[in-house]
Amino acid sequence: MGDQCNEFLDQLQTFLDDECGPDAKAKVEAHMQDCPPCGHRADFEERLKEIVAKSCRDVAPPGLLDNVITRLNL
Amino acid sequence: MAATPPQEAGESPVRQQLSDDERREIFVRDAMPYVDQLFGAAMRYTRNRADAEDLVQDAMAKAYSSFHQFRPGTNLRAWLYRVLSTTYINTYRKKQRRPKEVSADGVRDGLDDAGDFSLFDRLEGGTAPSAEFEVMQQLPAEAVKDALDSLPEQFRTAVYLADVEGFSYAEIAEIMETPIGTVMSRLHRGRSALQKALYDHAVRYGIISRDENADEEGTN
Repeated sequence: MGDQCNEFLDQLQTFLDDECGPDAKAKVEAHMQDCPPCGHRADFEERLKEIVAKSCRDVAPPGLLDNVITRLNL
Repeated sequence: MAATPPQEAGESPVRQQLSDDERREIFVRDAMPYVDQLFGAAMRYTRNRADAEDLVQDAMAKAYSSFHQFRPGTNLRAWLYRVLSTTYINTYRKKQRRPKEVSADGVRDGLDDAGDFSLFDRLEGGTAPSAEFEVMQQLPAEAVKDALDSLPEQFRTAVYLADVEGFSYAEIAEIMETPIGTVMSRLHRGRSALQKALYDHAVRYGIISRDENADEEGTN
């Protein structure tokens, strides 16, 4: 793993969270193109984020909104 | 004034100048739609439906009574999540008694060192190409939720707010009342711990065998 890969890994979280600046973003994207293993890694982490997002939702009980309305006397 | 309701939150009049009726109207229109969403976050805090329902109700009561403090034009959704967080910390966390989890970062935060655990690195060796994607797809949603819920509060909350609710670092910082650097650190460490928990679940569910990826860790 080269220096570029290490730099890429350091930036990966903020990149996937869409929190890095345009320069850093362009750098990460370029490295993903140049280095298939790092591109693969980014795909994996992104997929994992999606799985967490999809799996960790809870549906509110049907009466919750009504209970809040009653409680707050709205 | 009441005849021309503001079209956008940014144009809303200052709350203090509103009558009770107007304030109620705005709260019902702008804040109440978040009730069901807040339940999801409340579940991650309390990890139990009855407490989560109570927490949402208490938080909405608190939000309504302090709605005059909300600055129009700022982020109402993040403000409500912050009220939920504060309400949880002030009431429920005391009841739940998790002494290992309550201290500030740097002291003892309840996260046993997951180090830089990477599920990707762990799954990559010894398995077929793209096997790591297969493993993730096979994990039941309940297992993923369990893995998240197994993290100490500050870490599971940060990961939940980022990955499930899609809040920005700045918003999470506001909700958790902590610097952005702390948010990033919690996300990094939390995700690492989450990946370790997911790996353990995958082993438990028989999706991957411990032997195949044997290492220095003990068996479950």
